[in-house]
Amino acid sequence: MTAEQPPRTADKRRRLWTLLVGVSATLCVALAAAGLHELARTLDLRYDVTATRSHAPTPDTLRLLDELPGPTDVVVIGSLTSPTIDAWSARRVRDTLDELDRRSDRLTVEYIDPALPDGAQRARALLRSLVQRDGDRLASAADALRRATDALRAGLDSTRRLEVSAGLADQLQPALEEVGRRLDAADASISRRVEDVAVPAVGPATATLAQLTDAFGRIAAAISAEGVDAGGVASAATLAADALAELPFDEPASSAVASVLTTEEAVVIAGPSGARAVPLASLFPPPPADASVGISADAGPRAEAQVATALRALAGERGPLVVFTHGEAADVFDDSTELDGFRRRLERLGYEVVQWAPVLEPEPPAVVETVTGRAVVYVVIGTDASSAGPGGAHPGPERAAAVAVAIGQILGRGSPALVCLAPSPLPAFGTPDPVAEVLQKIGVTTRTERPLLTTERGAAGSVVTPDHTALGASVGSDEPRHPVGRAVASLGLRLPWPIPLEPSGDGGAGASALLRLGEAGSDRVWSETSWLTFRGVAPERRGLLAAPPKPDPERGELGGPWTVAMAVERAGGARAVVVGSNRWLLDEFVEADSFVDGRRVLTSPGNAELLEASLAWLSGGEVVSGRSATVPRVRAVSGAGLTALRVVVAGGLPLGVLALGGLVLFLRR
Amino acid sequence: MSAFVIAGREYASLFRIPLGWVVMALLTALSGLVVALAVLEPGAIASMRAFFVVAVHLLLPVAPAISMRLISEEARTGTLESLLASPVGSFELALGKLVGGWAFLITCLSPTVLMAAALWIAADPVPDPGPLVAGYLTLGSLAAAYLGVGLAVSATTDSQTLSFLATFMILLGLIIATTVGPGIAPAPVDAWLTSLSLTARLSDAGKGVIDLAHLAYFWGIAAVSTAAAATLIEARRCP
Repeated sequence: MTAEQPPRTADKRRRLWTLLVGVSATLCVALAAAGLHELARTLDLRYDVTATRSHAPTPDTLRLLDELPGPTDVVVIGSLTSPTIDAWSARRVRDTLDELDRRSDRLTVEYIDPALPDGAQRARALLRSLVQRDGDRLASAADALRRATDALRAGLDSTRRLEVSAGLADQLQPALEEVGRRLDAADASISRRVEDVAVPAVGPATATLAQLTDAFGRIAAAISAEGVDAGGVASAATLAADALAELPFDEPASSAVASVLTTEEAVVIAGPSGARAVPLASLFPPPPADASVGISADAGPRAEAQVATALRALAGERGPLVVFTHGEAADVFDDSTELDGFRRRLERLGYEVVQWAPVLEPEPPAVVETVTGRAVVYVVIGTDASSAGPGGAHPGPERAAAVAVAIGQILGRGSPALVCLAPSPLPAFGTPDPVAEVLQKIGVTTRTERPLLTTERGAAGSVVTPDHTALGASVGSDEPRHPVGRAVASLGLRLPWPIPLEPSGDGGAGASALLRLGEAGSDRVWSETSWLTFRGVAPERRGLLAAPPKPDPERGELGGPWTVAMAVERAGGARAVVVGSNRWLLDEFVEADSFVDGRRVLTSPGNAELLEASLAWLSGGEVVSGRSATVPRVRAVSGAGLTALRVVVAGGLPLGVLALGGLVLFLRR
Repeated sequence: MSAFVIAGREYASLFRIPLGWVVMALLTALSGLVVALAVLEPGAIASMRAFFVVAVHLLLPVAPAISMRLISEEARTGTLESLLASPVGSFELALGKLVGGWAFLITCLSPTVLMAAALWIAADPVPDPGPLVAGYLTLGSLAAAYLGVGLAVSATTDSQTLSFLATFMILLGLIIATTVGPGIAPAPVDAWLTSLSLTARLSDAGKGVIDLAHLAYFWGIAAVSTAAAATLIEARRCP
């Protein structure tokens, strides 16, 4: 039958059949390819081939992702392409957040740029959803705040109507005007609208009203003292206090997040149990002032740590406890803005910070004994043994001795500690430095009586300074193997009044040098015994000294390098980091900055890294900042050198290819 | 075995004509511009990632220029007839053409290794080689995908110009759809388009991640295109 068909029909059939088989085969290949793609995606067959595995989240972050209780959104509200943000850092942050998104089915990362047409709308939608999640909690908080405001306003009116003496009236007048202004501010906070969404500022309003309630109590007392009935004022304060007592302990998440968003760009982390906002700027370590002499810290691990901290807080987990131990006889967090900055930085990293003043209280805070399942790390700041406390109380030697006893207690228990040392004048007066004696027991010999001075040569000539600004590779040891050393190996640090350290080998200690200053065979950095007078000279006048300290083998020691920071791991696993400098971890040094091309840049980015890496290592966590801190950069070259390099790459190579082609074609003729 | 013979012949033939060298010089010049302006910047992070991301666009005019010769030119000059009359199978023929063209494109990319070497010299400390390995591995796979599409298009027409333009437009359409598309498409199409993105895959590789899903994606496109090209060649065989 087939043989009898005309040839054209047979060809057609054959062609059709061929096409059918071909298309089927192609479809099969497509299905196989899609299947392989899906299989590789599902099995997560991805390999981080960077030398530092810089794209792999830490085990702790992975655990947090695995344990997420429900859908969690990480929403970046802000522009990652802003000229104020280092482009490479922005890319690393994005890579890190995307990696977290990829690693968990429950976590979604979203980017909202408010400058884009739909950005504001999406930000509004996010806020609305947070307000909805808070639901009655936010409404009842706003209601309580309104009742407190109404009560205080009624109290204000009632006070104004009271007949008091002219003297008291004069005193009350400005106070009542201020109360009125602050009540208006509280009203504004309660009826706050952010991106057209009503979100009461519960935190600020509560703080204002609490202060006003106290103020009304004092006003009522002052009025009563004149024999005038101040019952209305007192009851207003009581009513307000009762209303404030109904407020939830934690500020509703939508209110806290909106407060951050009204002032700056932020990353909002919203889970089933609440939400947190991390300022976007805190994800980006400002780059060093001069890229040719130091590198910026990697923004990736920092972003991961910040998000992990927020996830941990949402899960109800609390971070390690840092016990800030000092030689002052006062509450330093209340008195010093600089120390408050230090505390805030640590709290942003998930640490809880408490303080311990051994001068006043010989035992550590009670909270240390009650924490379970959390690391407790002591940060001990050195004491100036040459000065007494306020009013002459607690002389320097007494304070230094109290701190030394505290360090002995901490190290004796095997608790991890970051010990910062201050120069001590005591040995010059024949009294050993008690802190040095304690550290000797863990295998660290310190020379607190001989701090290091540095001769800095600048345009105005040589200047002797106690602040050692160490930059680039001159800081670290040649091959830093310790994680803390690796974290800071290529970063610039500024260490005031550095003190040389040496391993003594006592106490079964395993000591690793973290930082070294000075160069072998150079007397640029030297150890000085006659430094007390020099310390009394104001920094701006040091350059004017007729006879500044100078390297002199009779008054000190010459020849570096000098070890100024050590990590110690003792036989029982007890860890300590000893830094031969005292104030390096405070804002004055950590946040020291300058502006280059309109961008804020840190002048000593290594200070923050040293603190963060030390705390991470001491609390048993991973030193994330050290994973990729040594980011290579293109060296600074001269304009002509750069042009030459570019011409070779963009012009020379293509011309070379053309010339080679011409030669080949010519020879083949 | 025949596929390798055809691949070798194809590879060598591209060096015998000025077009092959011009294409290589063109790609080197474009790559050099990108590296000179976006990579070799004092103080910048020493990474070839910017080059790998832009390579998605750099290969856009180059791959069609190579693929248009693979079948279309053979058909135009009449040499395809003798190939079809030979005992070589259609799939072997298509595979040989793809491998030959791909090997040539990889050779065209080889001068960029010298650019990476320049970065090595200019950087301090020496950059991590991991991202470079991942980047070139994925870039090679992208080249196979582009050439696969070009091969399939080339098998449909005898006109080299048409083959070049059609391949260029298809690849450009894919890039536009997967970069601009997600911003305007409704869900879940936006997510699907994002998952097809070429630049995101190269960016991933440039940062130092070898993702087998990315490799499967690119080689999958190459395989499907080669199968389609083989089908079209087989159809030409029928009288």
